[in-house]
Amino acid sequence: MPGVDARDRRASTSARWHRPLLVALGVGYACVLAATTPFSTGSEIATAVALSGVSAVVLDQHLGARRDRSAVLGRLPAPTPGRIGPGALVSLALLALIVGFELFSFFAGSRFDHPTLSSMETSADRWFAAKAAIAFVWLSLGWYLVRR
Amino acid sequence: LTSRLVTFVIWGVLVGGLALCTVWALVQRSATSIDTLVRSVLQHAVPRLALLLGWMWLGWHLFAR
Repeated sequence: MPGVDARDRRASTSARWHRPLLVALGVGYACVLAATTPFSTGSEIATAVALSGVSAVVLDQHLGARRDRSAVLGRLPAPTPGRIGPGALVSLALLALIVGFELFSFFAGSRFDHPTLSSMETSADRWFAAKAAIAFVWLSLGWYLVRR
Repeated sequence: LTSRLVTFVIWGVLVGGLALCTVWALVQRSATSIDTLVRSVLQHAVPRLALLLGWMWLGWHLFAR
């Protein structure tokens, strides 16, 4: 059907532009965050805007899910859980070790002798590119948590 | 060997290992990556909210305070 083909083409074009646009927005906003100074009003506003954006997406998803449930007059089938394999377990073990080592370094005494991830990030803040990269990773993580 | 150097080496091994695992899972397009695990956790409201609050705290800690 020509109408369906045109709709599919439009959807495909939209999907093709969606990700680069999102990445460009993320890079732009990471640069805004990197340009602010911690403990300043500017940094608080820039961070609060990102937090508000994610909160708005979560709220919209929550309300949308409620609307969908009432529309179908019943619970939607639960998504099929994926298979958890050794790759995920190794990553999980590494994550647990990172959290444990961060706590150990935090309580070990001298921050010079036992730098934490947080103190290393503070040292990296003096380079704009490093701070922007960290901000981009943080924004990407937020997008990962709220995407459907 | 100073404590500082040892700490940096351990951080390198841990963070590098996690990065390698993630890249390997992406390249393999494996269904057994940590992504599968996180996605199944995100299906539940309470862990999802906890992860989001953790993400918010992290951002505030890194960029505002």
